[in-house]
Amino acid sequence: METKAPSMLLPALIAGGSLGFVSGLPISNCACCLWAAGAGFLAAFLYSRNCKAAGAGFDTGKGGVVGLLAGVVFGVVGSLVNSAFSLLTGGLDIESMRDAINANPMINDPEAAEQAIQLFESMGPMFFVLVFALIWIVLGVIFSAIGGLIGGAAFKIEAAPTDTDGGWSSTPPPISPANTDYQPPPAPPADSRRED
Amino acid sequence: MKGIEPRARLWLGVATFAAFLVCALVVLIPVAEDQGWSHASWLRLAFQPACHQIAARCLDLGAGTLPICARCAGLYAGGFAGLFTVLVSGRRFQFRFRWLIVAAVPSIADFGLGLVHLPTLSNWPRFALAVIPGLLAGLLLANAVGEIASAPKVSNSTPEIT
Repeated sequence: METKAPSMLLPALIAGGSLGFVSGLPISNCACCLWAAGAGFLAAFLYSRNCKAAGAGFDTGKGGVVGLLAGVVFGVVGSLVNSAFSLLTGGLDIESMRDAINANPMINDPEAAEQAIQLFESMGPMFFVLVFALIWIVLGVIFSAIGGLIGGAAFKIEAAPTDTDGGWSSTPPPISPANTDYQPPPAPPADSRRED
Repeated sequence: MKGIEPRARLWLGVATFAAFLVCALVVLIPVAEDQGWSHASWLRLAFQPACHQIAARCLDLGAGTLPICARCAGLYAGGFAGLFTVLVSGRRFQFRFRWLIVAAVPSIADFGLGLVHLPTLSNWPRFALAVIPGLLAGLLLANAVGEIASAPKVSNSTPEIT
């Protein structure tokens, strides 16, 4: 019987929620991809500890999956926090967005800036919030899964042998030292054969 | 160092190609803008949640600033180099995870100096420092992809008891 693996939900919620919250704050926008990768890595670390406590194995595949789950939580929490701050600080007003787009040195093309402003005016701020949240979730899942895979490679745990209840097992039990001194019975002497 | 199986090499090739596409996109966005393709500016927005995109901290390869900062560009380039190294060499590079932390210390120190408003490195040294942890992370990622791809398939069939 295999040991039941612990739930992935709690590590994913803790890692994705906490780092997603921090990355959504306007003061921590530096190296945001590392926040997402860190969420996956932290989730893999937490889950590996749970697996170790439960006697279950932990490998890169499980690290990737728990990282992916953490990425979903990271994206949702991060985009919600960021949108909430934008709403509270008035960053989603038409005029504020126009100023932000015009002042953004990354937008080199004035035609593209004008297109962005017109789209924002026609679609409304909620459209931008949703698109931004979608991008955030997609990137969060990708980077967090990468972080989870790296965490899975770093914190790999072999499953402990659990066949202690006499049940079926896919692997033979380990040979204990007490059983290794087994000696086969001696062969009968040649002259003891019966000749019928 | 250990060799990688053909199936693992296939998946590693897919991951390396994906990393190449991301790096190529980063380099090609300012080139496309320079050529007058206005939609390229929209592609910059795709990187917005992943990087602060402060123009003064982004590398300029001649056609305009890249859509990500120098440190992120170094991490991406290093990650691609790590995956590509394993793919081409056909070897898995095993090392302790602590080396990744050691490699990241200079970048973390530079980041910390910036937080307390002390002088920090310029863009190219910042890029070079970030390549090293990116490379090691790429090697670890290649190991992970290789392990998943070469893992034996779990059979769902019930064993017969005779």
